Amino acid sequence: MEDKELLNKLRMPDTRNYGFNLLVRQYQQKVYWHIRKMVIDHDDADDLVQEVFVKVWKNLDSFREDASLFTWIYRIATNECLNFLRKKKNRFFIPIHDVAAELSTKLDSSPALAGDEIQLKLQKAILKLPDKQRLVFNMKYFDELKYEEISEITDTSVGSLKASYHLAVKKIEEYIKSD
Amino acid sequence: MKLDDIHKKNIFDVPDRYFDQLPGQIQKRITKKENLYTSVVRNGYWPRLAIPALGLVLVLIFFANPGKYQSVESIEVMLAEVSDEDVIAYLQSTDITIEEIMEHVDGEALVLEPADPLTNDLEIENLDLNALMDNYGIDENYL
Repeated sequence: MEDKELLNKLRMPDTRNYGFNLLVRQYQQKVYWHIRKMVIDHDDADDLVQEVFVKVWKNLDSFREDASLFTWIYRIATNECLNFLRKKKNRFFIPIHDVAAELSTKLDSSPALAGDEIQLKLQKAILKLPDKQRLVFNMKYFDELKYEEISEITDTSVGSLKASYHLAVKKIEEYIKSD
Repeated sequence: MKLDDIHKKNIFDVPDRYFDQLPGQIQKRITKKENLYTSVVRNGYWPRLAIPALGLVLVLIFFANPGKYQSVESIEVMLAEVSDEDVIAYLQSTDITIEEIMEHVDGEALVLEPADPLTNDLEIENLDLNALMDNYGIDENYL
């Protein structure tokens, strides 16, 4: 369904709930996978997806049509992910606690993985990247978003994003080669 | 090995029918929040919740800063440790007049100078002194 049609339903009190249900159905998978790749654990991803859509609902009136619905929702999801990871790091008082290592262990112990060894290694290599670079890499590589779209979501210039992605690819290839 | 050589694949899995149930879960959360908002704000319950909450916050602030909010007794103990010289020096540095200080002094706590050298020299009897004070309308308590 087109954004315009969806927004029309969301703005009418009688069709607001129905419109929101359509919006959730339209974007839930994209939002879920975007978050899941960042937090690895399904339960964490589930909590965050619900939180993202609750925020979307609460802020529908403040949505301005200068961005697409998809970009706006992705931006909320991205911020939720980064906040979640930041809180996770702050929760542990021992400075050497490594969230990336914890996520990597989750990858190893997760029964819900359907990849071969090289896929797992790729995921571990991605986890070595800083959070923001990981987000950019996932959006470009897996979600196949355009740099312009990522730029809108992350509020970062296209040039910086290209440099960040290029650097991420190099780091990942080096990690995969290393073993 | 290059990144392009790796087959692009999503290796994560989700529980069965997860995406069928997710919209319902989200709808439930929204309805719950809406109901809470309606009952608290629209039905005017918020003062009943806000007042105890404010009280709780104040109590927490008090206990979180025990050094900041001391009892009157402990303040008096602290003040008693200040030397007379320091108190006089402080009072002289302010614009407070003697009359203003006297207004705040408790009658029982008032300690007068042991003797006025002028009256000692004159060797006036108490009775005469009282009569003199009556004559000039001087209140003994004020001294």
